[in-house]
Amino acid sequence: MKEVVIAAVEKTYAGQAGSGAVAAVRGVDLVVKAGEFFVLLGSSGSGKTTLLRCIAGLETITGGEILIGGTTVASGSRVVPAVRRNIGMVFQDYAIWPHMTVGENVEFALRHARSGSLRGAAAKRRVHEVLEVVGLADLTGRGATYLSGGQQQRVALARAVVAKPDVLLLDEPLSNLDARLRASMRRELRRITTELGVTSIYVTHDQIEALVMADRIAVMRNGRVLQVGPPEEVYRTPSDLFVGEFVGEANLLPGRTLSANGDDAHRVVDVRTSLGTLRSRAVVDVRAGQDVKLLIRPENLHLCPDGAPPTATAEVNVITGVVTEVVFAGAHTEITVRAGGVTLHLQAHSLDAMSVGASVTLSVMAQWVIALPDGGGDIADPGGANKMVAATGPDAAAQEADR
Amino acid sequence: MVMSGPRPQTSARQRQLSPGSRRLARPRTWPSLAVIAGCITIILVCVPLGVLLWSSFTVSKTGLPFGAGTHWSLSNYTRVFTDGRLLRPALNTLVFVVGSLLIGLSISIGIAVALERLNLPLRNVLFALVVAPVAMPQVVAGIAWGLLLDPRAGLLNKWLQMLPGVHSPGPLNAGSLTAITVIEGFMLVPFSLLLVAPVVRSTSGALEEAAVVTGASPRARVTKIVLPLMAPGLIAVLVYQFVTAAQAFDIPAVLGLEKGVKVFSTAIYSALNPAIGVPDYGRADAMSVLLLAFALIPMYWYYRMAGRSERFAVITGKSYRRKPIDLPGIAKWSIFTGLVVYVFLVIVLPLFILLWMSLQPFYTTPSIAGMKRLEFTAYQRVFTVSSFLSTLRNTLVLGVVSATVVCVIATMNSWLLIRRRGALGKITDVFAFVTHGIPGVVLGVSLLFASLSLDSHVHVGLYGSMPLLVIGMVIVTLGLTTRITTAGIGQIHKNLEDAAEMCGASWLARLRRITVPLMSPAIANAWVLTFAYALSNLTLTVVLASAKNRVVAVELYTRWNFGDIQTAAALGLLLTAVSVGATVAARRFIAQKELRHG
Repeated sequence: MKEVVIAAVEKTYAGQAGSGAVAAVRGVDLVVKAGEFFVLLGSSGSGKTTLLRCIAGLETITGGEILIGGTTVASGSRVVPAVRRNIGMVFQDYAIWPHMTVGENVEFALRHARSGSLRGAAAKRRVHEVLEVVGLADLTGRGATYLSGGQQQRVALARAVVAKPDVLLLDEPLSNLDARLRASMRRELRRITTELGVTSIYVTHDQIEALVMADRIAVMRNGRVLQVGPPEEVYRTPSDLFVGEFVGEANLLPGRTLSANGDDAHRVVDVRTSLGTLRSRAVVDVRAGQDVKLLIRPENLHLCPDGAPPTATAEVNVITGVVTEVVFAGAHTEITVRAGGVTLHLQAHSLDAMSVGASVTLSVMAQWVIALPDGGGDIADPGGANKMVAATGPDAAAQEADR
Repeated sequence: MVMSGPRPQTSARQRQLSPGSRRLARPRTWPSLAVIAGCITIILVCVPLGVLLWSSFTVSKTGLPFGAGTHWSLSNYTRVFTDGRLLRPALNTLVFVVGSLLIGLSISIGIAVALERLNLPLRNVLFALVVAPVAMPQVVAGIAWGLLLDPRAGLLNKWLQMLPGVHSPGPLNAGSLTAITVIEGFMLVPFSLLLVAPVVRSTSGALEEAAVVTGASPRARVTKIVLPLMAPGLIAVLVYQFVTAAQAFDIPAVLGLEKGVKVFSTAIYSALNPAIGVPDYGRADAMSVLLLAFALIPMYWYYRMAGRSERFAVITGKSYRRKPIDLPGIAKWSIFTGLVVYVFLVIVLPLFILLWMSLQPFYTTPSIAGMKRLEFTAYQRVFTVSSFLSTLRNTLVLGVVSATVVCVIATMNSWLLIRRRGALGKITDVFAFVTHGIPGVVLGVSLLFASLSLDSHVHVGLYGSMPLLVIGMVIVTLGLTTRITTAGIGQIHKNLEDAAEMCGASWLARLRRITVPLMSPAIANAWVLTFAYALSNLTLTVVLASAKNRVVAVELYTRWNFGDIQTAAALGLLLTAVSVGATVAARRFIAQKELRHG
């Protein structure tokens, strides 16, 4: 169990003939605490897999420094090769060696372990112990190719942790499993890593996976980290428009601030929108007269009963509109409301009768209306959109090569 | 630094980060073993050819390359071009190459279409039988044809002489340019069929059906869809086999040389080993350079094409076999009969005549009367006379050592190309590829000159030795083996190696425990091809022959020329058996592995 420090790490791929160099990771700073389950979340091309491979030592960083347990493993002047970093890694496609049995796959890691090679009866015992943890002890002698996807995933995990690594890296380990298995493996993976107490860094593009599993999440885009925090914080109070949209569903209302958010105690901002003035909360600095977008999660928009329309207060915003779509989705009903020229999505209890064309009144607490600077990310990153396309190259290529 | 991903240049920026700092624990940038193999490949191609080219522009007093009094001169070339002995072999070569390609490729395309598209019975058996001679040494086949087509006593001639109006000798003559060309055409069939069959199979699939759905006429289907799709594949086969035919040596040497019918490659050989007089090294040298140019130009074209043909990826893609065309009974059975006759003529008959001759004390046409004279003395001789035993041992050593060495080098080359992806890998790949375009006899002359000058200047005892033969065999087979191992490594997910690296396994351990076991089918394939090739190669072994490095192919050729047909036939059958046996064993191993790894 060791702490991982990533300081100003950069990874630039030398360009092929005809195209320039491509930056996959651009100055990432992160501290992953010892024993933490840390998730790197981002879409493909965000640089998350590249960053993970840099920590593993499978890629060489072109700038910055990586430390594991206080020891520099990668910097401009010093590179500890992957084989000496004492890191376990689980790959997206499992990477189970097809010419070996389950036991041999796991034992291989033990034999070459940095922490001291184990052989003979002691090795057999340890392999059995780990296979027991992942629930495959009775398949030790089975050929690795005769396993289901979920079983191969467990073998990959057993192989990665058998030599008691300081850090466990997981590269989208669940993305090749079917939905039902994925849900149970999430909990299983968390259970096992907690049991082993290993520092884990987990890469995924699935925001649900990140929210369910992480102690903390880092949202990446375009080779940079946009926000780091516990799942609740990242979900409820995104500090960046992209994060807000990427993690969970979001209604976005364009508007212009009437007041600045001042000090920490007064994070309340009034914003003029096409729905009138709404009271909101800002977690990052906004000035008066600035263009912002208001982010409202669908579950925070409430339908008000017909008889008692609420009045707007300092804590509650009220919106009126017309229902344009009603979709039955089992436990709840997804309702689309048109109000002041914008479209809002919300969820209602499925027993609430609702018909298209009805006028409705919605309420939302001011603390769940988040004001985010519009295009702030683009100012910090001129031409960001283009570069994102460019940066898709190596990460996508690396994933492609992995396949 | 590790061996994965596109390798970044060590940037000025990176150096700035650590001004003057010691490069602590800097691991090796790449495994040196692979780099050594890559360099060996380049040296193996450059040094012999460099010596050949260089010495072709010099003459010496002794007539030996780089002998006493060596000086620059163009006289080798002026002599070859002006003394009137170039035209005949050049024209013969042209007829031989064009004719054998026409015959070989049309037979293979015909058989491929028949076996892939028609509802013939026993398709798989017929395919296996047509391809089987791949493992039969061409020198052995040449001897068999020489026996079958002997103008007086040849079995085929005897049969034809039963027709009214046909008299002995003739009508067929093994030593004629026509016979040599047709037989070389037969020799090209097995490998061509292996290359052509996938092209025919894949283009008969979904795309053609799509054309049917869109309502294209049968004619439009062939000209607009099938031919354009097949063209790159067929042209690639054509160019590849052009190079094979241009450097063909065995058939013209066994059948034509004695009768004075020479193609370029045998003309070079006879300049080195004239029936009378002393070897003319200068002529052999200049002619080798000409033949090399003749073979390498299409190779350049082929290399460009092979790169571009990815556009037509469908020709290599797997595709289901379409429902075969149902021909009416008469057409079907006549095509089937034609195939059976072909198999009888090209495979059964040559093997039968070898078996017959190996059991006869003297040359006789097979007959019932001859049955009384059957004897096994030739086989007894092979296994009891000590010089034969050392020849057999040399042959096996040559096969095993060359195959093993070339597999190691080819695997390293492929690893450099696929995994390290640097400039060295690409350069090595080009050099390995070029080896297919170096005619065997040219390489023989190059190595002969290189070893002669090494011996006379540095006193390395390479001339006429077994190591020299191994070096030659490695060079000629490097192109094909590297292609096979490259395909093998290409099929292994890089993650499987990365996973081993994350487990702490060193580069060598990863190679030994993960990469090599996973690509073992490809390595087995490359190994057995080289083994069979080294066993049956006559060109290099005869050009570089000495008393020390005598192998079965040379022994066969010598016995044949001396008229000891019984021993030649027995040795030929033995060689064929070993070669076929090794190939079958390797196929089984590969099939088993592939089944297990899914």
